[in-house]
Amino acid sequence: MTYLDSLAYLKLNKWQKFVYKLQCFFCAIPGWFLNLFKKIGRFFKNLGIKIKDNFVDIWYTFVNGSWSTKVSFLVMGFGNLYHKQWLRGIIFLLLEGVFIFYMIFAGAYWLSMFGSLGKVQTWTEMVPSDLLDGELVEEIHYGDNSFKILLYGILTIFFIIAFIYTWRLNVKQCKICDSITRAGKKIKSSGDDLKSMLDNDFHKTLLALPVAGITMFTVLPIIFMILVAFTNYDRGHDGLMKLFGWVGGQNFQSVLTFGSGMQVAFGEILAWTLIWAFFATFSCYFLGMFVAIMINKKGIKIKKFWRTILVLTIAIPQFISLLYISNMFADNGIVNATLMKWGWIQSPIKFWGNGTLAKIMVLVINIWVGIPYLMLITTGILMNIPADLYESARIDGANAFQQFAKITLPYMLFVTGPYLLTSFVSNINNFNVIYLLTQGGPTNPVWGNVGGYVAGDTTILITWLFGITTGNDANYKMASVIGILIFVVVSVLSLVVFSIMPATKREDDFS
Amino acid sequence: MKKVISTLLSALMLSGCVAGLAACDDTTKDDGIDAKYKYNITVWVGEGTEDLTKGLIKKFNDENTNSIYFNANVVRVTESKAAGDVLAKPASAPEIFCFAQDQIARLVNSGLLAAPSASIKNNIVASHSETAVAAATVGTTMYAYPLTEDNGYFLYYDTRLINAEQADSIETILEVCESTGTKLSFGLNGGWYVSSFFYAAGAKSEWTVDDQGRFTDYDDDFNSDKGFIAAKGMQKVLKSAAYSENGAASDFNAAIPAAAVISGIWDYNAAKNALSKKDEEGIPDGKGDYLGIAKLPTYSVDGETYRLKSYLGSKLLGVSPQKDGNKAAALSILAQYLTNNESQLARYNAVGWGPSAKDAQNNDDVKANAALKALKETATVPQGQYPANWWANPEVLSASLAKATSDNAIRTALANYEESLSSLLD
Repeated sequence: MTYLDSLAYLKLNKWQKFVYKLQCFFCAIPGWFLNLFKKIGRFFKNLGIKIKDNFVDIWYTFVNGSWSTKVSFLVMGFGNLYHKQWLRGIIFLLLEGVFIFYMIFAGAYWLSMFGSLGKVQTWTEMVPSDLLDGELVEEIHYGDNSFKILLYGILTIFFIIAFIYTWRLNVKQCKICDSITRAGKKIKSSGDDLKSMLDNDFHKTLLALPVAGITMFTVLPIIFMILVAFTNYDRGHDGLMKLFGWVGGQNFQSVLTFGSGMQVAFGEILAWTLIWAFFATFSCYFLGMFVAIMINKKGIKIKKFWRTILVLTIAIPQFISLLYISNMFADNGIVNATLMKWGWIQSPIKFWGNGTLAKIMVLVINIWVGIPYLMLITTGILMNIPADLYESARIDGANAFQQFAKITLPYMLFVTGPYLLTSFVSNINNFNVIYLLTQGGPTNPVWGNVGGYVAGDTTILITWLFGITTGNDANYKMASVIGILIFVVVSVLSLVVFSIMPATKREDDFS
Repeated sequence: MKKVISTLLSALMLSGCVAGLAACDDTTKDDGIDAKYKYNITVWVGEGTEDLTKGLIKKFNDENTNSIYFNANVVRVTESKAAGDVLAKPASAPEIFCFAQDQIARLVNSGLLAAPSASIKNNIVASHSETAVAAATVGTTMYAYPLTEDNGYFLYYDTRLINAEQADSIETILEVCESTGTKLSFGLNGGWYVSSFFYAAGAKSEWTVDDQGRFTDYDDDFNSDKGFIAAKGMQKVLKSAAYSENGAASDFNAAIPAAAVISGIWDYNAAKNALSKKDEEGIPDGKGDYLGIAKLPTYSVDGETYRLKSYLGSKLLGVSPQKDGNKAAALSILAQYLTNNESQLARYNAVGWGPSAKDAQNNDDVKANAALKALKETATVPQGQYPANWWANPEVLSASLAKATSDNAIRTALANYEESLSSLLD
């Protein structure tokens, strides 16, 4: 497309300006991806350069180093001990010892099994038992455990990386010692080291435990879960009684192969998930704002009362209120009973039995659940908008809608932009509302029955993931694949939206 | 000062972690019992039978003072959930667990059930009903211990609205419900209930399973003229304004109350309570004066009538495989004890579970039980072994039939059902 200069742009009418902006937006999309790929490329290039520099540095350290430095390449900490840095030396030596000990007695096994995730199956043997007068009974012998192999295999790889890092640190330290000795200065003693742990390096002391915790309890499980997507781990291959193994990209293939059962179900569910997240987010956003504006109006009396009524929805746990609502709208629920009693309907309305109706119902009920939160958030922001803005607008003859569109909405969008994004993402993963109201139903007979679980018209990705994990097949492998795909969808959307959001750009406009 | 506080907090966090780990210490105390074979075990049993099972194990210990002693931790895990939990976490499976029979094939397939030894198997075959023995058998090997034989369904109805004659036909039940603004509650959203229409019309779905719990073949003619009749009959219910898919006795108390509910013995007390006379405060007397119980009704298509057939299934007791042969033998003896005549009668008296042991079935109290009687009168099909994912297929079929408006659409739904079967073979 051809880009207009500002003069040409100003000549356009409103509609043309809008179309022009839209065109610009879509034409920019390939550019973003190109930029992203460029950034990724640059990252790897820089990484490569860094690694190369490190190798060069290690080589020069060895060639130019003292004899104690050279020994340190094999016996970690020797250089430090030689320079009487007892604490550092002992720690390095100890770490090397522990690492070698671990690798010999455990790590080597886990690592050697990591490629196959287990070779020996669990088997049974018939043995005579005294209790049954020598009759034969089954005795079980457990073989390898794929689950443990995968978990400890990852852990071992972590240790190896940590060891390589430590070894590099050891080499660096020797280099520093060498250069300090050459300059004829004094080398830091153990006492200095200890002191610095509480002074210069205090951040390290404090962060050591949290970092270790995050690695063990967050990073390790995430890597484990991602790797599960490349295995055939499910109820038929539980890892202990039946081994599971690597299957490469087969699971991704079955979700992404066009026309396969899994792909069709995934496509349908993804489409509804996005529709759901869009409407759930924006309906609550605008209606919540609307309610807040109404309550904030000058003429409205007993404002606190209205707010309290709305906030009561938050006070009751969703688990209770949503289950109750779900029963109210059941075929034989109180809503149908009342409507029939009044003679408005002849037969019950199948609120949950009809796909389209069920979708509308969950969106409407979500509005009821979501409005109070938005009302609370926006009330505070609305009060912050300078009243003189409205006053001058009124003097200029702006009507209520113009005031909303030109003052309130831009202000709100600026302040709550990041909130809108997070709320969109959390709606993609809004398990509660969907599961408690419909359990994902009504059953979809066309594409629902895949992966050991029957999905329905209101199933969103997260309830689908839950269903196939806890369903008949305990399909952990597919759940992991879906989890990864949800991550991809969410992160791409977040990045795109975040990069075009006003809140991240014009920081000085509103303050 | 800040540093001191932060250091203290870090130390606190560390000690918290250590304390958490220390709490995992798992030691057992010696209680001075002098038996040759002494084991700590975990037993999972269904709702309401925990105390009973504890009592039975205590009795077992008392009777075997010299040889076997069990220190049992009895935990309530619903039988519908137990097998799934064992399958998901085989490493933490309990020694003995109670489960519904539809899970036995996949438990066997995963090697999670230890088969009883020859003599114990012979005892069970001799003392339990054929259906229950078949339920505990996969291929030709018996893998579990029959606990009940009462997993079936029949008709509960409100005698104020429906009389015994009307209760015999689904058409008249629906008519009454529609005219009185009440419901027929029938769980036609699940394969277990959907099949009743097909068996009624003479269709069948039989699966061949080998000794390792693998499904090797099937003989299924739901997609046939018989199946078409069943589908037509089922549509009458699915498309009726009086149909509710809950299939639970609680529907007698719903805002639009049910006049008839098709459910099983587990709902007996709930149905009795719901259809009792109530005092001024609305508290039911629990005698069930308005409760009618009958065998399953008929449906008619093209002038022919067909009587609905229920599955007849069992709850089973499973023993996990053990590293120690003697422990396996001891558990096997205990499992046999927990499922023998006396234990089953005790269970019937405590929670009303219908026994599978022949002598217990002939007990006068058991025979007089209205719900068990209705189940006995209902035509039943012994619930063989099915692939665990099979049950979803009749469910999907039912959802299609609810939408189908023409004969062609019904045929398509049945054809789709048939097409989905081959993928269930191992």
